Amino acid sequence: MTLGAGLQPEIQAGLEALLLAMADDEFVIGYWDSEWTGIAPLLEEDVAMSSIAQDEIGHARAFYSLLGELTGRDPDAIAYDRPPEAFRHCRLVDHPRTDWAFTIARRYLYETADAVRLAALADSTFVPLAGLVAKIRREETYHLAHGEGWLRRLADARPEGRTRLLAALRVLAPDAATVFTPLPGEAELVAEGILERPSTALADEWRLRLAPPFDELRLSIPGPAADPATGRTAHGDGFRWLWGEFTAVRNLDPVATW
Amino acid sequence: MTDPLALDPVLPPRERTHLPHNDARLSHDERYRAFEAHVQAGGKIEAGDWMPDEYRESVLRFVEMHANSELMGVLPEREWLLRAPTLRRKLALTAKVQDEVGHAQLLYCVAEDLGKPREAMFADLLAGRTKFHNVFHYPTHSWGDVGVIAWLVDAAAIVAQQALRDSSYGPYARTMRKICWEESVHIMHGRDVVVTLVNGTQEQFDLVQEALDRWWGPLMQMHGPRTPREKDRDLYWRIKAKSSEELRQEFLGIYVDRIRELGLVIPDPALTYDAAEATWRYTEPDWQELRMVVTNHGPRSQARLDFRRASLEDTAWVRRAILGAPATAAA
Amino acid sequence: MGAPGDPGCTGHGGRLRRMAAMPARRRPHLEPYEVFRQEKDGDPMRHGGSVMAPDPELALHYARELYGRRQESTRLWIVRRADIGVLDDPDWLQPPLDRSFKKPGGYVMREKLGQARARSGQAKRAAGAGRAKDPGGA
Repeated sequence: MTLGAGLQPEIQAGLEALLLAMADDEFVIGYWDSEWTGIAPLLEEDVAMSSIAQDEIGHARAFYSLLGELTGRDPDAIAYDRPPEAFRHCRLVDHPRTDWAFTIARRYLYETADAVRLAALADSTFVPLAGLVAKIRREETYHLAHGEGWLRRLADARPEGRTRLLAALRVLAPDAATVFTPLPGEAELVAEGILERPSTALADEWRLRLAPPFDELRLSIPGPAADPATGRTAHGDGFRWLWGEFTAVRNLDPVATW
Repeated sequence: MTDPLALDPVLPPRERTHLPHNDARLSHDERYRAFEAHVQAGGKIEAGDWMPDEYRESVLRFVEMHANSELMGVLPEREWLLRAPTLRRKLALTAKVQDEVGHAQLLYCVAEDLGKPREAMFADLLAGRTKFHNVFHYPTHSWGDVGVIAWLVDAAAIVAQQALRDSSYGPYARTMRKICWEESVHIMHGRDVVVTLVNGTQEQFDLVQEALDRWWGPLMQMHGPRTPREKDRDLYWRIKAKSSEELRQEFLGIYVDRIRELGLVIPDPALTYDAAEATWRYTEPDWQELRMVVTNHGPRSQARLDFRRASLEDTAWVRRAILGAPATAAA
Repeated sequence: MGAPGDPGCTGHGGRLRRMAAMPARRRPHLEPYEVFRQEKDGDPMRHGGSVMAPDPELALHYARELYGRRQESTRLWIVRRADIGVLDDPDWLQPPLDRSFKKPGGYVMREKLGQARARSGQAKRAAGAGRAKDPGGA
């Protein structure tokens, strides 16, 4: 199934929701983590975190482009020209970057969840998505290695690193599983083979995969999301502030060329 | 049986040493003269070489100020990191600021290998004992500033950096070559932003013109006041190769036409090229302003130093816990 | 013989020295790692610069960032500076006696060739002239 073949409306709607969710997840976490550029704990680490954040924005751009081809809209317009309520990122990435421990904890929860989600799209019958996912997964191996390394370092750094990590995980626990908030039209995507399995099954797999490192480091695996119905629609003040920032220049003239 | 590898060297000092200034058996004066001759003949100095104190201090001061400037130069552009108006501009600006951090890393490593720990350099920067370039003490007001800084401030910097690619201090020269290669992308990004704006709406054009009006003064001050070549010790030691005025003339020679061809007006009515003398004439820059600014009395000097201090303090626990570095840069 | 880990292991007569002193503190602590890079397939490894890191794993990430994030390298070697030995002793690298027999420049044949050609009656071919085929084979 490609872009040329006319998609049935229910399939298209489900696909658009999926692409928007993934694009917004990458966009928002990319923006938060790009804030570390220039102020990270070590100059070398500054460069590393900035690369990872840029990769996320790059992935977002690719998803917005694919969405743009499906809907006939410009990717920048999709990303920037809407109010905060129209964003569909998960609550896990809605939180500001906070401190280094929070960033690492959130990044680890997100990357491991995203890895499960991407694996379920690797053989998607929607060929353009499968192709894009293959490229993204190659880049993500770097993120996972970097993230797991930092998770271990913080978990083993007693007392201060571990204390901060545990505090961050406690704050994030109610929102961690929102990556797997069931999407509107998901059942049709699974039936068509666009998405391999439903979100609930992916969430279970994610927890299974977290078990070995979390058990070893004696960290608690996050449970089901609190308030799952709003997992992708309730946004906090932090995100609203961010929205104000990333639309500030564009909103001077949204139709101008920047 | 005698271990042949443990034998003492046979030849006397003068005949065996490849670089006499490194021979510990020579007197200080002999080593100094040999060092001078080596540098004046275009020879290079490496981190492990013997150096006169004056040379070591001069290189360290030069490199440290450069490193500080990259570190502080991150801050004005960082203000716009979240505000880029398209995905591509967001990526380009983040990558550019990341590069400045990378340059700070490269330069602090060069300085560290001369004997001063990174944490000590941060402490001196925050305490105002060492300096950073004037342009990074000024505020930014709009996206127009982003274009002007990335294009023209980086251009003025690259003119200076290209002249450092053959510095007598080897590690610095090599770092400059890497930095120049990376900076060339920044200038293209900056020029692209500016050209896009001048081709856009009147409001967009005005953003650039207004930014240029504010940045021209600091740009003209950036390379510093004219100093006579014979009094410039950094030129003597070939740490740098060109004087302030040579750099300024070079910058004007390339960029005045490129600015004017976009329809922008340079806010100096006296700026003209004197063909007979082959030199650019311009209104004398305000050297008093430069002095005030680089001694941390500029419009954003303290705010940016405070910001830098705060972010170092916020992340001190990470260095303490994980990276094993001395945690804080004490103000 | 000095103990292993001494700066300047004396098993080499003091000719080989460590680039950096062995760290006295236990890990974790920041120390320099040197990065060597290969620009494209077939190129030699060249020194790029150094990164500060607390362990080899982070050193690897940082080397990739500082020397590979622009896809400018096809391979990186990351080495702890303290593990690098330096040889710059001129007795060993620039020994004084004639060694020209080891280099092409040590074999100057202009005069001898001139004599041989004169004896055989063949003048030296003019520069730029086409190579005439030798009917008898090379």
